[in-house]
Amino acid sequence: MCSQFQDYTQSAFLGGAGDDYIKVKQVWGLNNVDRTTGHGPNKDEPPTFWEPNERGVVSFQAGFEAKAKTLAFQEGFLGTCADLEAAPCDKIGCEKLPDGSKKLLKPNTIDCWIKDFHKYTGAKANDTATWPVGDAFIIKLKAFRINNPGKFEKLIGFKGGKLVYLQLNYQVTCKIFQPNPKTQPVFEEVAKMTETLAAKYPAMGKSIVSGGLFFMWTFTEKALVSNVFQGFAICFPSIFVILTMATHNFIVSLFCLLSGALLIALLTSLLTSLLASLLTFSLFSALTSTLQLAASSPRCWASLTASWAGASASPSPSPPSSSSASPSTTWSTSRTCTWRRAPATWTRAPSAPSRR
Amino acid sequence: MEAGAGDLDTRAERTKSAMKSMGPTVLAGAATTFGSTAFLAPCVLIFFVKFAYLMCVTIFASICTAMFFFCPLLAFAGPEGNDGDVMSLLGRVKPGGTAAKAAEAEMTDVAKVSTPLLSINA
Repeated sequence: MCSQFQDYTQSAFLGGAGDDYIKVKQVWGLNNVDRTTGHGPNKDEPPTFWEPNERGVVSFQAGFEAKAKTLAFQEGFLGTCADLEAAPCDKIGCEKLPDGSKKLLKPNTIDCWIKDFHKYTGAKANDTATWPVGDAFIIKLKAFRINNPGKFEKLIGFKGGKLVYLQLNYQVTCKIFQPNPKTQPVFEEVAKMTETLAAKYPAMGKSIVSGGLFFMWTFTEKALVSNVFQGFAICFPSIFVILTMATHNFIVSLFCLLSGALLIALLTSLLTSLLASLLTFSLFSALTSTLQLAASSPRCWASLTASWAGASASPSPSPPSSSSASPSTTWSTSRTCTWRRAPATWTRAPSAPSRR
Repeated sequence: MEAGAGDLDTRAERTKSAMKSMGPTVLAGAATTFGSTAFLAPCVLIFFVKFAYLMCVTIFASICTAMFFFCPLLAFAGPEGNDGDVMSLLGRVKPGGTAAKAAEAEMTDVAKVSTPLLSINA
C-alpha cells in the first residue's frame, strides 16, 4: 500500500529517492502545547481527540527573541549544523554512505538557513564582527524571510512582530517504514545528539525534535509486537488446556501446539518477506497470529486432533468370543461398551465372562 | 464422535481414521477460504490485493502444516494405549480411581484363583 504510493510519487510526480529517509525537524523557541484550550471553531471548549484540527495551542518560550539575537546563538546554530553533519552513527538503522562511512545525517540534507542569511546580509562566515546582532538581527531576519518567499517561512517563525521560533530541518540515514529494531536506535541517537548539542551550546536553550510519523510509530509498533507475544503467552496455555480437555491426552495436545508454533513461525517469516513493503513486522505478526489462531488452528488441528484421539472403526466391533480374546484385552459391558486394550492392567466388568 | 473414546489402538490406524473422517472437511474448508480470498487478488485497491496474499498464504501454510506435519507426526510418534491419557493418570493419582480399582480387581482375581490351591495344599 505505502510502497505503491512511494513508487507513484516518484514516477508520476517529482518525489525522489530522498523522500525514502526520515525527515527530522529541530525547533528552538517552543515551550509546550496547551491541550486544555482549543483554537478552532470551539475555542472555549477543551479540544477532543476526535477533532483533527484541535490539537491544542502552542506556547512559546518567554524571552526567546532576546536569546536569539545574541552572537552566541548564531554561533551555536552554525556549530549545531556542522556537528550534526559530521555526527557518526554506528546503529543498525543508519545506512552506509557511498564512501563506506556511517553517519547520522544524509549528506547535504541539512537546511542550515543561517548560512544563507549571512550571505544575504553580507556577513563573512569567519568574521563574527560582521554578523548582525541585537535588533539589527531581528530586522534583517524579517527582511530575509519576506524577500525569500516560500523558502524560509516555516523555518523562521514570527508572531505579532516578535521572533518566536527557529527551525532546522535535516534527514537521517534511516529509511522510512523500517521496523522498530532499526528505527528506535536512530531515534535514540538523534535524542542523544540533541542533548549533547544543548550542553555544548547553552546559549541556544531547549529544543524540540520531531521525526514525524516514523519516530512516533516505532513505539506503537514495539507495543504491538510485545502485545502479540503477550497474546501467545495467554492463548497457548489456554489452547493446551482446552485440547487436553477435549482429547483427554496431553501428548496429542502438545503435538497440536507444536504444529501451531511451527505455523506461526512459518507465516511470520514468509509473510514478512513476501509483503515486507506493505507494513512492518508488528502488524504482520498481529494479523498472522490472529488469522492462524482464529481460523486455521481450530479448523485444521483441533478437528484432526479430536478425530485422532477419538478414532474408532466403523461399524463398531462386535464382542470377541472368549476363545479369540487375548489376555491383555477386555470386553466391557458397562455403559460405554467400548473395546479397549489395556497393556499394563486389565479389568473385568461384573457381567463379563471369565476368560481363564 | 467422542474424543478420547476411540477404539483404534495403533497410531497408524488412528491417523488413517482421522484423515478419513476429518480430512475432507478440513481440506474443503481450506479450499473454500482460499478460493474466496483469491478473488481479492485482481482488485484495484492494493490493500485488498495484499490481504488476498495474506489470507491465501495463511490458509496454504495452515493446511500444509496440518496435513504434512501434524498428521505424519501423529502417525510416527502419536501416543498408543494409555500413553498421555489424562484420565488414566488421574486414576492412578486419585484414591479409588480407575487404576486403583483395576489393581483391586486384579488382586481379587489372584485371590480367587489361589484360594483352591491353598485349600488343596492345606
